[in-house]
Amino acid sequence: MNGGQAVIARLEGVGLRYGGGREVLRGVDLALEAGSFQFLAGPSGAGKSSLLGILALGHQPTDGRAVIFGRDCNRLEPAEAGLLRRRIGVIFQDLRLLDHQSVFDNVALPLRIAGAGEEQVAAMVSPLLGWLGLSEMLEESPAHLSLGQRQLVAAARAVVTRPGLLLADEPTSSLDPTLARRLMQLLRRLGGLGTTVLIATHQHELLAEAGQRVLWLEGGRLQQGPQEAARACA
Amino acid sequence: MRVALDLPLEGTPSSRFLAGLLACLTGLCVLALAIAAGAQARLGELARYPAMVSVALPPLEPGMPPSGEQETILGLLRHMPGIAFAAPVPESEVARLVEPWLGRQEGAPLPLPRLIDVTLVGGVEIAPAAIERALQEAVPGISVGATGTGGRGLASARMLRDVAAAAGLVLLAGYAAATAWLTRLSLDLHARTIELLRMMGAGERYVTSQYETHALKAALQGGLAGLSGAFLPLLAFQYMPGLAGGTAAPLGEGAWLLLASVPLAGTMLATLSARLAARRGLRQLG
Repeated sequence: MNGGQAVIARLEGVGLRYGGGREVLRGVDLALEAGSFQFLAGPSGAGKSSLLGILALGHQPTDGRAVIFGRDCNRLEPAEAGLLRRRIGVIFQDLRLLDHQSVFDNVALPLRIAGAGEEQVAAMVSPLLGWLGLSEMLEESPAHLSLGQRQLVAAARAVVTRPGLLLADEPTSSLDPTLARRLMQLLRRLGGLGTTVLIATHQHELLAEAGQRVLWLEGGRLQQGPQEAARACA
Repeated sequence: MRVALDLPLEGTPSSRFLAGLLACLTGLCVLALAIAAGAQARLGELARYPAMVSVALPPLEPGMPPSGEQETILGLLRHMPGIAFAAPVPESEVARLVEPWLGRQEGAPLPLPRLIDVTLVGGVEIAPAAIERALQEAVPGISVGATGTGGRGLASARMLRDVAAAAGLVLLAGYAAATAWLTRLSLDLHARTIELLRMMGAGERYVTSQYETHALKAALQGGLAGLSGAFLPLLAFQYMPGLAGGTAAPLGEGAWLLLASVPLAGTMLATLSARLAARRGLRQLG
């Protein structure tokens, strides 16, 4: 990474243990520059979701320091953490859609949490769902959609607020190639608008396109560079 | 205004249980407070009709001159707190009172007790035994008995009012306890969804407002159902006060207003209780 851009997320020697047990991350150093578009790869159980969890302010590191949007995560008041989280979009691997709500309400959720009015919500949600080909399903429960469609809804919910940092955990794993391309197009477009995007994935076709922008996580340690990119694509 | 909840709280078995429970509590609370208000109204009525007791001095031996005991007792009674009036019953009146049982007294009359009528201050309750104890020292063998309203009626109405009001308050406390308990259970049940909301930046206020809104809806729904359920027994109570054994009177306008406000008070209590329970639970969840 070159040094000209502002760093919006920085990890310094970050380690993570769940409940004092096995160490999931060890000495992770990472700087995500504003507007960067990167992939995070590694074998299953390498700690990719945990690393995203720290960047999403879902976990606090047990060692080291995480600074997100200039704020030290170990020293955040709950209210301040809430405000910072509104600037972060997350596509969860398990999607976490609310099946008792409609597709529209699911996507509108982060906007409503941020206090947006219903007019603004409608103006932002409907076009986005239309672009993703879901305009016929606004009132459907996500439970009635295919897995691929559910994945698109989860992605729409993560990007609808145009977050400063977007973290995606296997966002295209259940999509057919056409939909996967469309979603990646959306994420790249967000990147072009200044959103920093970090995508954890196993999918070689995505990584093959990524070139040097691949971070490799293995055994809780992070490596980055051309060799790691080649390893990811192998 | 959008009132749909992000947490799946509505239409669930626990939500229906909460509304049903609050309906039962409202109905019972309304009935308890109606009984308390009826008893209070009866107390007001009793206060308008003073109670009376009768003091009986032992009869004098035939041929014995008056001993001055009666004057002593009258003096004591007139200085006792709570006593409005005390006057001796003429001997001829006493003879007339016992005539139906003993027949007309010809020749040497039978020794009859000397009676004093005592009127208590309205609404004041003094046990005849207490008066008797106070007078025994002056005239051993004296006896005191209740002859008018009040006394037992006052005590019963007071006890009914206090027990019913306490029951009403306990039932209102039940509102708060039931809502807090179900809110706490629900927090555990929906911990994952709450975590999702927090990951999107929802603060404590946002999540607690979900529980407040849910409690508000359930309490209004349950409260109105409970009030409707209590309406028929209330009407019966209003037009047949004898149902309460004469210890309660029909309700006035103020009492009806009080009863109508029970669902509202319950709703406020349930909402507040849900907010506090959710706040505490969220802090425990971390």
